[in-house]
Amino acid sequence: MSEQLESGAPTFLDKFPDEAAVVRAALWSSFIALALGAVFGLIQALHRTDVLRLIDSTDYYTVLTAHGVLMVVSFTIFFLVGLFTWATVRSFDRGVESIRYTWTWYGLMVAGTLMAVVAILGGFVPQTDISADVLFTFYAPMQAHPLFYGGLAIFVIGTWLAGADYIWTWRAWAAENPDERIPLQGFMVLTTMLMWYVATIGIAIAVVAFLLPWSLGLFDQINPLLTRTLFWFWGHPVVYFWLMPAYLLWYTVLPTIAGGRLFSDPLGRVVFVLFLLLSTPVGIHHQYVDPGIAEGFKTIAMTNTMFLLLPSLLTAFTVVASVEHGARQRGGTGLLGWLRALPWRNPAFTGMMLAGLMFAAGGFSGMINAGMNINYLVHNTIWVPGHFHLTVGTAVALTLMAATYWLWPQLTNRRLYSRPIGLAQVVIWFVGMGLMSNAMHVQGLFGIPRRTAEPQYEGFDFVASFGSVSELNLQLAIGGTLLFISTMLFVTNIALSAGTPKLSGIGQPLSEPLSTVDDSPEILDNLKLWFGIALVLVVLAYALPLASIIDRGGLLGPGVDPVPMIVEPVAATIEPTLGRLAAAVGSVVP
Amino acid sequence: MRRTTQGGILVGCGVLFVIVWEIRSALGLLAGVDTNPQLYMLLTLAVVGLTAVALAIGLIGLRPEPPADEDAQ
Repeated sequence: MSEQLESGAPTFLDKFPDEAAVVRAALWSSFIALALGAVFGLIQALHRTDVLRLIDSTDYYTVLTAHGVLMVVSFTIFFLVGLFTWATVRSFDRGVESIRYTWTWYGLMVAGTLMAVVAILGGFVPQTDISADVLFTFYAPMQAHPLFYGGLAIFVIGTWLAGADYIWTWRAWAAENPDERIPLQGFMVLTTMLMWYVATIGIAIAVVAFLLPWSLGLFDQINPLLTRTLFWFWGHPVVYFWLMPAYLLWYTVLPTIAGGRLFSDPLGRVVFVLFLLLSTPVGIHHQYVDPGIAEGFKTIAMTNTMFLLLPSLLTAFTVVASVEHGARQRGGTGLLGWLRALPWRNPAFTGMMLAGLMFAAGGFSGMINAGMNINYLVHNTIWVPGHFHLTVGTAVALTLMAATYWLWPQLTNRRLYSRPIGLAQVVIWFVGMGLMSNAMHVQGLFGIPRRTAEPQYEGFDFVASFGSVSELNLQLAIGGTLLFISTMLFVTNIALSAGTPKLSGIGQPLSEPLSTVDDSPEILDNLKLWFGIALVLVVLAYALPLASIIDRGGLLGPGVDPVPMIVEPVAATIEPTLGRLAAAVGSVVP
Repeated sequence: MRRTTQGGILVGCGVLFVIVWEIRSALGLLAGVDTNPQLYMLLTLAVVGLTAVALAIGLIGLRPEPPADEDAQ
């Protein structure tokens, strides 16, 4: 095994030991959050399906909040900052400007996470008034302890400083290489962080200006719709903040593992620019049933959301083309026969491919969510968690775990403890998610709600159009259990890797794209331009809805009245006009 | 003889299981066919198991041994 791993090239650890320590710390923070989140996820899946009840239903929201926050804030974003630190340093081929600064933002993120987690877990301790049973979607009127909001704020500040670290490294590199194009991984990191700066405007205002002072008792009340809209200002682009690291891995690491080269560097840049532009002005599609936002604004959000399919479809094409190139380099032939030549025994490759396959299914259910009319069928049903367990729960999570199997030796100079266990782990995840997500989608179509410990409350049964609800519950519970087992296999495999012998020369250089950066227009690298356009699009999408909400409810108002359908004011304007016209016609025509 | 690696059998059978089982949902939702869940699960496991055995003994197969550099990643 070691002979096969040894390429003779230095690893990331060999070249940048200080930065590798930060990346390892960030990844371990991520894995700890993943393991804890998985425990809460298992409790939740077994409780909700009534298979095994370890908690009171009154604690369900504490469990649900812990699962959500640990998984989609801590696991994903700690991994992101670790991965982006690796990608920045690797692609610019230079260390960070100040390792003390880098540890500072990491420390802030850890402190923020601990604060938020303490606030959430306080919900299990009735003797204390600390609790944060507000779910991951922590908008008003549900209120958390100030520790929760303060922790989130510090965590986000940590990410801002991480982004500044990457920009600092880029600027230092650019000063020494004024005529060079930004390397692809660096470009992906920078566009992602610029998108994050735009997106977090909403959550920063919501938390710092409203939720935190409200929880501290400085305000008696706040405008729920305003904070809810500000949450979703951030709440949708955060989806892409989770996804873009996975895209970075699919574009830049997966082709190498497949034995080939990225099909097109320019297409990769276009995709990341599109995400920077389009991720944020779409959040209102999460508010289709909110009564305080006019239908016209929701229609605009829906249209913008559909545009987001473009970069995903471009990615599907580019990644599959790159993998096919790799297969053909390995001797694969035929229309589909090349699939046989791929390294399916490699858990890093197989995990990322299975994640991509699941992402395609998640994309289809996402289109249902994004369509205003059919969204009403599934809104707030368990279909929605079924959808995002395919996207963030598999496309992102499984990609990050699979990529770890490739990345970890680069950060530690040690081989993976067991590749067969790694392979079994990614397959178990795929099967577990197939079962759980399928059950969730089908139950959602039967109208079964999400976010509840007791979906079938006393005296009421949902009607299954085929099979039975209890059968789907069992399927969900089995799927959730498999996911838990898979997570534990992953974390254990990585932990045991620390006991394997040290190796040298096991670096894995990434292959160059087939179509290089020289084929792309230089304007793609004009980050100021794209950042400016992104801000303009956000203003266009949000200025009027926010102004309308504030105008009718006030900054701290109790809420706003329902807004009439857009056709009603139009009809109110047209009807008198038609009446006058008819009267005029009547007076002329006898 | 055509040989499929143990890894290939594992991955293929995992994907096959999910596809065959989810066809049951499609039959129920789209065609209104309510299949017996126990029987369908047994059928799914039988299809996956027989496929795994057939791959393992070379009755069906995808290709000769993979390139030697497969483990190098």
